[in-house]
Amino acid sequence: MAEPAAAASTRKLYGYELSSNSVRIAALLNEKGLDYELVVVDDTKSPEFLAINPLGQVPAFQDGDDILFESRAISRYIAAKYRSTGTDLLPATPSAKLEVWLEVESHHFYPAVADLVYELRVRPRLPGGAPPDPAVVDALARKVADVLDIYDAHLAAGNRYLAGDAFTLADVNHMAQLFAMSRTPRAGELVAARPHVQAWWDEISARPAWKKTVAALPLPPA
Amino acid sequence: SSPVKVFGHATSTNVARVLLCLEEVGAEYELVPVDFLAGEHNTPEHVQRNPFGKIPAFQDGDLVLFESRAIARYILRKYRTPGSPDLLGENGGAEEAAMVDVWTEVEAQQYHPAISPVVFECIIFPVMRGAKTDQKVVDESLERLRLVLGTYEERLSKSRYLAGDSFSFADLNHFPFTFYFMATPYAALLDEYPRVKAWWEDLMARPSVKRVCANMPTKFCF
Repeated sequence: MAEPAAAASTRKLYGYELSSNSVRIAALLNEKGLDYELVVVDDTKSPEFLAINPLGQVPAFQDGDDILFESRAISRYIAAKYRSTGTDLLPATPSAKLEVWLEVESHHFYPAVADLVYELRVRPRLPGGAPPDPAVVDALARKVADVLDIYDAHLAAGNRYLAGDAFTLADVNHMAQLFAMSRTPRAGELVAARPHVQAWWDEISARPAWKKTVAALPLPPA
Repeated sequence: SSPVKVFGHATSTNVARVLLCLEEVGAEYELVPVDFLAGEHNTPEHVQRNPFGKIPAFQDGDLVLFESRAIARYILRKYRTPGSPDLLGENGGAEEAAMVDVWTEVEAQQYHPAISPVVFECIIFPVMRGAKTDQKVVDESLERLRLVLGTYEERLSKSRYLAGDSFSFADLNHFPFTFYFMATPYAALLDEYPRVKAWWEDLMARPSVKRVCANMPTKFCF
């Protein structure tokens, strides 16, 4: 995720590579070709970090004198402030459809997918973590399936990307968790079984900026 | 032009969020009931408007939207008049809008998960399902809420409203669940955070809030 810069960047991303919400921001910065310094946060409850984000979570983002937290607020800020740098991820005029799918990611997609990825990949790797519980995994996978059915129908209804014809912030906001899920054993029945979701993921994950983001991740074994 | 339509009922937290915005900008609207007990939220007609089968859904001419925060942003942009406040901070530049977005996300991702279980356990589940309050859930949520309110108290010592000196969408988004929280036995918790309490009373004094409150109950039978 760290971008070698000729001079120190005024942009700092506080986070770490295995935080999908930190990857959300790294992916966005790469789409826009913006350099930044990754500041790895070991202790999110340290006084130093709480001075940056009193809610004690990563990512946080510093741009000159401005400090922001909450990854979806950071992503809106970067997309708007730097819209003329790199890929413009916002439509020319505000789009209600874009707003809808930003919120769908936040309230439906992320909770379902993050919970599944947590049970399959994160919890078992914590100290003392037990293997995934099959009944829990099945229940979580069903929730993801229900959400992805709605995505498949939406993409099938003449939407090449979530907000319509153009790749936008709404698509970028999904990529870190989609990637995490694509590396689990449930990816086939969840993503591949939904052709429009699969085609959309194939297309957006082929973007050079995304490949650059992935190349910099220290990936645990799939 | 004809009034916009909001599908749902005035007692719903997410419907109230949308109604508040309509009242703030003074737009005319029609509230179209959706009968949950009769399963109307699962009918093809409603699912066409909101594929997740939830309320609110929203219609403005040919445009149909779902997700209350997306609907809210649409209303605040389209129906803003010179007399109504710039609740999204979009006229103030990227930094001002960013602060509104940060604290809007804080409500959604930090405040809401802490406060809503108390409302669900003390009011919504008993009223809708005849369920008994799970005190363990309430106690754990109150502990989380105390931490969040601590950061809010600190924030409001530096800033008149959450996003800055002006009232914004971020403050507004706290209304629905906090309103119902104040009808639970735990309302006195806010007294421990005097700036938060003052901020809440300021919010409750807004004409738009008073109009929306009028249709939300404060006493419940279960």
